[in-house]
Amino acid sequence: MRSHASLHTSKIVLLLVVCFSVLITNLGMGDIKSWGDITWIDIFGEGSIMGLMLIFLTFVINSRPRGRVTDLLIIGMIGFTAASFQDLLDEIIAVPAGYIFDDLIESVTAPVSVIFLAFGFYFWNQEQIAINQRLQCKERFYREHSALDYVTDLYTALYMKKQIERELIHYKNLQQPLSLMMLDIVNFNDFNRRYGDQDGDRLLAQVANILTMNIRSVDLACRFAGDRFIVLFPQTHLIDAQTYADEILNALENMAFKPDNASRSVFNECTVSLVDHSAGSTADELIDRLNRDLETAKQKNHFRSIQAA
Amino acid sequence: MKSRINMPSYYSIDDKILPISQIPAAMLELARNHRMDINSLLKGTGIFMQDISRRDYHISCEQLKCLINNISKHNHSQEFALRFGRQLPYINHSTLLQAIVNASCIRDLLEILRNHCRLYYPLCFLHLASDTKNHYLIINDAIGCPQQQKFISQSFISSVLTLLKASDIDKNQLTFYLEQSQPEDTAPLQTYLGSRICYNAPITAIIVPDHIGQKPLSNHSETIKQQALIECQESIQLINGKQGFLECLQKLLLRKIPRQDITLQICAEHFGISSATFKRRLKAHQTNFQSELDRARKLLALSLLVIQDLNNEEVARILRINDSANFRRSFKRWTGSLPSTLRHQLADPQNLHF
Repeated sequence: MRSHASLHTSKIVLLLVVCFSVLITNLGMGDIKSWGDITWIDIFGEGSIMGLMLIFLTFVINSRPRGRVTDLLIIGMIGFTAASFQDLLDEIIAVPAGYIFDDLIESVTAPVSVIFLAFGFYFWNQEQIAINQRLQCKERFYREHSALDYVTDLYTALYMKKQIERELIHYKNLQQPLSLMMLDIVNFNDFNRRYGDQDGDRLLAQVANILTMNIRSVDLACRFAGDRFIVLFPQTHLIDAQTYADEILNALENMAFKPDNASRSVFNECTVSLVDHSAGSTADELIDRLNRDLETAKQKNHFRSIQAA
Repeated sequence: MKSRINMPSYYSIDDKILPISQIPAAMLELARNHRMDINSLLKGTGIFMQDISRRDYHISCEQLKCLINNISKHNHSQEFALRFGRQLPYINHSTLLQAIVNASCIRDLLEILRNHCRLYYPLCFLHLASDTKNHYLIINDAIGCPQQQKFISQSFISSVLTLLKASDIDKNQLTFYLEQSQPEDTAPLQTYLGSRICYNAPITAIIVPDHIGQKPLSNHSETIKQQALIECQESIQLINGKQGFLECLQKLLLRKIPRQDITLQICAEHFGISSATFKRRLKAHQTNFQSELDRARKLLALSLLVIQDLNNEEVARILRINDSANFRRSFKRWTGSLPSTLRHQLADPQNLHF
């Protein structure tokens, strides 16, 4: 993902103009203090506030798209930067009494920008709730961006392992059942070789979408590795999970994938395996069992297709 | 002064022997599909964007190592080696692939791979050994890439699996020995290699049970295979550097260890260079004489213990080590466990822990 900085050029210009005009006005009104009059500890303290504020501002500018929340946050931060810059300049430039400019900047801008920031954070909170809703089925209670899979936008196997461990504790303490499903696309390697890696990745992303569309909001789907996906059904018995798995399989088998360089749609078959909490006492054991069952199911399907041919 | 024995021509780490249109280009293509930035991958490799499409342009193993390092730094790279391995059979010599798909049985297929690894994947070389129960395909470093070993062995194993899968072999019947320790996220290895993976092993190897090794392949055609193999031999004759430097040294050591007390000077003479140059060259390949000697002895000891089923005294005698206590100590240093323990572990195919 590219940096969003180029979207905010006008804000960066505004920041520079504000800081520059504060500096010019101060220089115009007062004189630079003599070396002995400068209190270095104050310079360090006030300078670091301004420095940190600039760093926060860089993060916001780098990562956020345009919008109301971003505007509020950036304007609040620019105001606060200007106030702390004025504070810093007070230590270096002696302004004769009678001017109210410096007090105005310091005492009025700071609270006003904090109000802007407060509104910004309020709307950010709203926005985050909206995003969380969109992430349903892909995330549970815990966010860790480093475990995200970039092809499917699902979390990876490590994330799933943590969630399974969490559910296993629930099972031990509260006897709440859990079921797990693993899913694998039949002959994905052949598909990749025929249509190319890019279409392969697109297929994975679409399978991930179908998967998240066909599970409940309490369930969690993750990409395991390669063409393998794993779904956690918390508080679900195996028999119910079987129904959900059939529904998912049905949806996936009817998904008409359109490769870029082929005129006909491609339909893919999938293999699944299912286990519940009784198959093991740790996440590793459960995942191991799922993998083995999946391999057996794949072999069975394979022989069936050979016999059919 | 002994006469210099005819050594096969070998390539060093900085010899430009890899056609850019094969392994490097395929790696970069896959990296691009993984949304990696090609320019940052080429940084420090000495390869330029315009070189990639040049015909007859070759790069050195050192440059490829640098490229692998750059790829490994990326956070999307966990599956990269395994995925690259799936493409490996199709990016090299097409005649070699023809020979492979016309092999008579899996053992035959592995043998073709062993004999033509120079055309298949020049960064490693293979040993193939068999006892009554199993066939062992052992993957070794041909050119001195200790840091890239994980990438190389994973991609190679995944490529062999792709070939075996085309012959309807179930990967869960094979066992994989990896020298690396168990990664935090085992999902990629589990998905690509199956459940029978053994970490922290003394060697990198694929173990094929005999009933699979002897399974006849349906596409087999002896005539086509022979023709293709002749063509492969011809193309090997034409290229410079038949073996990697370390491969050459290892093969020499394995031949010599049972016959004489081998020293650095003797090896240097065989290579026809001075001891000082030999030492420098070893250093350029990120190793030294003692560790190469130890590696050869380890392999020899393992094959004698497991495949020929000899006892410690006999193995010590063949390795020209004075007594069996000394041998046990050295063996522990090479592999991390005692001969008896390791023999039990290797003899029991259900055991996957070292």
